[in-house]
Amino acid sequence: MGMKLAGVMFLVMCIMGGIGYWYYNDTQQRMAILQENNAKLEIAVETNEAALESLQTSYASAQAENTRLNAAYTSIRRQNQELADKLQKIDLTAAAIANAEGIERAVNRGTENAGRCFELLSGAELNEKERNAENGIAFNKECPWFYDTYKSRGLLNTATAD
Amino acid sequence: MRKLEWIVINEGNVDAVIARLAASGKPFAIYGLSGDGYGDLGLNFSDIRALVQQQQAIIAAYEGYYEQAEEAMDNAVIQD
Repeated sequence: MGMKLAGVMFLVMCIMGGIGYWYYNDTQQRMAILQENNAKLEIAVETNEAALESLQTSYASAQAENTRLNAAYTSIRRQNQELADKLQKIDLTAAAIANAEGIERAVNRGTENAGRCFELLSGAELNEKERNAENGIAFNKECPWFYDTYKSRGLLNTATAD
Repeated sequence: MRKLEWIVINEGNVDAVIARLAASGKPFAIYGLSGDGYGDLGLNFSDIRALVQQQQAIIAAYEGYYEQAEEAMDNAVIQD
């Protein structure tokens, strides 16, 4: 009877040991999978954070460029208005009647200067007179605002420009 | 730009201008603009100049934006 009981007990212990062994292996496998998933999630989070940071930087730079562009537009509109303001103060017909030669010289000089503004806009190199100009009016009466642009880029002879 | 010459004519100097042009040996023909017309021509050129400046400002803005965006992308790739 005792031997039979011992045999049954041994059998039960073997079954319990087998279940324990299976449970241990299964748990280890699950933990390995979970660790692997966790690592993947960490990488995904890092990638997302980098992408978010990149988008934020991109958005900020777009905003900064937009602000700069608006400022440039305001400045260009103001410059464009200058001639209209000037012409409102002058009666060209009366001036031509009063002093044809004088106005002829003025419009020829103005046309030459205006043409030079287009040349500078399209990337022409500065001539000696422009490089040595001491202010915007001496630089070019039709687009004096270029003086500051060229000065800030260090393209004028600073000894005379300052 | 090509050099061009404006000739201003009024009632008082028209004969002298015709004589001057005749003396230069050129056939006499003049394209005329009134004072207001000349002013409008100047304003049109000013508008074109402003448009060119605006286009240049847009190009500069795009350039700045893409340079910074590329830098941000490079930094993100390095972080990965």
